[in-house]
Amino acid sequence: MLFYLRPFWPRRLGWLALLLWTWVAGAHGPWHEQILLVTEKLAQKPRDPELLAQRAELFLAHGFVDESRQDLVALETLQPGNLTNQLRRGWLELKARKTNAAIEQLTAWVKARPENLEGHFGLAQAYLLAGQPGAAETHLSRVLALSDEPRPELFLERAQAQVAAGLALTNTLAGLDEGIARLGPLPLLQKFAADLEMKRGEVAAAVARIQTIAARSERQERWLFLQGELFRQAGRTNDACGRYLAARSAWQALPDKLRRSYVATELRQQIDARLAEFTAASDR
Amino acid sequence: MKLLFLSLIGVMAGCAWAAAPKLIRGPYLQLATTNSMVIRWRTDRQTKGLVRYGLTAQTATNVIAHAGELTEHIIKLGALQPATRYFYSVGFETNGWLSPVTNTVTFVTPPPVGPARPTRVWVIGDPGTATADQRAVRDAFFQWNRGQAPDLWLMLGDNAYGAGTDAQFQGAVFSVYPWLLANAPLWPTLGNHDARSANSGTQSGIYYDIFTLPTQGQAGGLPSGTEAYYSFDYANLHFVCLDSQDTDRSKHGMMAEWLRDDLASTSRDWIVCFFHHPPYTKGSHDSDKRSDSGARLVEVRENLLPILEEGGVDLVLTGHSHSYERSYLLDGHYGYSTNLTASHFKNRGDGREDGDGAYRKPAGTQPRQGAVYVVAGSSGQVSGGKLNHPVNYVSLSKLGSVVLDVNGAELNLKFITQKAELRDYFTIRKP
Ligand SMILES: [Fe+2]
Repeated sequence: MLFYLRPFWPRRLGWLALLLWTWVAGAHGPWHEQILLVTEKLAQKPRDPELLAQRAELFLAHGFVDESRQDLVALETLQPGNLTNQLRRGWLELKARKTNAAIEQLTAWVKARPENLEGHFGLAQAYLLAGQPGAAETHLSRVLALSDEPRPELFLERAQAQVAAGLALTNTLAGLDEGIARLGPLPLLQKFAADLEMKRGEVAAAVARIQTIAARSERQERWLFLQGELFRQAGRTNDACGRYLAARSAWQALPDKLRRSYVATELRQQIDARLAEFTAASDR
Repeated sequence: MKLLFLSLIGVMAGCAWAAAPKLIRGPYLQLATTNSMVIRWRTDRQTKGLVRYGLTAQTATNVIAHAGELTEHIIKLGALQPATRYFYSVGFETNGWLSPVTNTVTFVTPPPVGPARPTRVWVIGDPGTATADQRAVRDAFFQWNRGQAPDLWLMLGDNAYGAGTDAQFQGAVFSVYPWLLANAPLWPTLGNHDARSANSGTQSGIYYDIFTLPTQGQAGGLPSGTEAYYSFDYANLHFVCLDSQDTDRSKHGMMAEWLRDDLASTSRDWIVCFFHHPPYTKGSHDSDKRSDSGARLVEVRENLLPILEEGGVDLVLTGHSHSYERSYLLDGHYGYSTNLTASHFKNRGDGREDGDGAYRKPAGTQPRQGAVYVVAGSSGQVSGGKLNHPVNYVSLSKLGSVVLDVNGAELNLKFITQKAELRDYFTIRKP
């Protein structure tokens, strides 16, 4: 492992960590200090490949793409044919939004290192940027297969890529269920899966997915309302009405202080609006 | 001959010494639920690990072992009774014990949902300096709390300076709070310094190696799928831990979506949220500067505070600024301090029963009753700042820690300095 985080990074994910970090969080303060520190060291040893690599990565993490490119070019001159520089260049091109170049570099890298998470994650991002969700989902699947404890987001991102690529809903649902099996019945994964169940006309399955969240929840009104929404969407008015009424009862049974959150009052308004719709319809 | 004899004794003593592993970390309590407790410890060499436990020191004869030989020992005790004190000790091989079972090493399982009961929480922020100041804050709490353990304790991040390495956690956490770690479950959040050796995206690195945190809603709340952010219940309290450092803080990120669902699913009376980066501070960090800490303070305020307040949060605890700053009862202030208006104050008193009166969240159907924001980042050092954020009733450059007491309809928070002086307090009441 080559990268900045190496001194205290026991696993193989330093590079990915760095990039995920900047991807998600944006770069900031302490990295400036790191760059200054490495620059000072480089003044003593201007041709030290380790230092050049460190600074190239720090620049990239900090969003200084051109500066990073300069260091990487110098590094590539010092180490012609070095494979890892291909990974670095791939991520550099990705950050520079030169997706074709990124895909080219990263494809070569994962061909040589098929078990490398950083490569597959980079390729997935590059394909997403290039508007090729089908290819992106293949590499997201590799990332998930290679990760011990994947971020919950990755399952959602893959499912979204699969839907965008027009893959069979069964496969996408299986992928979400893999996430649920590995991470637990996360509300967001179950809600996304419920939407997909609706798309393929499986109303009962969609409602059952919301029920898995309800089963973990001390309060029921939100989940009963969502189940009502699913029935309503499917045109099953009586079932929907039943859930909305149950949601209202659950809401009314809440102690006063729980009803007074903004979310709870808003939900009550939504329940009442839905019930009013039904009353209006049955009056007609 | 004499020399040979002495060396033989030396070798034998060496063997005997090598035979018993040494306890070099813990035991420490994690992931407390109403019916289970995780006990962790480290030995200097690989060995089988054992826990013996029971309802008294004399009857601590239930023994649980883990498989394999390890140096990092993790044993989960299950099938426990709620709200019950257990006596325990940890050991090795089949019957070796690293400590006697005494009255001084016990834990109490969290109470179930039901009648409220007095709960005491000790809260420390940015403690991990491994200095005399850190120890003074600890000792002041012990003195103030008459040597008792709290029901649970929270660490608000920057738990081990400067980079959250294993050695730094050893020096700033395990060596400083050994008794507390063994007697009360600790619930931490990730600080920027801890994050230098840890990664939330992959839940790996030292912080994630050291702590056992819920991902499946094991201790209450909805499953988050990650140890980076989680929730848990204790009596009539719902605690939410967010990762303000290394997880997507956007309005519709996975953490934000989970937070919305989690808050709408709890039926506990009080909601307390904790994370590292303060939304309101003029201490060693400035929440009016977008450039501060990679915009984390601003993002937390703009993106996560609305979700928390709409979900009914009562109290938000943070650190990062090495000061104690405590707000009035606030609602809806997500901008810079220059945009603060009178309408953002739900109550502009001191929140004290013997002063302007407690903050009250009255009965009725009106939403958005306000929350108090506390920066408690001075448990290991103080480092100044202007300390003049206008949302705050109190801003102190004082070493200290926070004691949170909840009993039924009343929440009391106190700031105790390193000299065990009470320097701030307030009460929130709910009908
Ligand atoms: Fe910090």
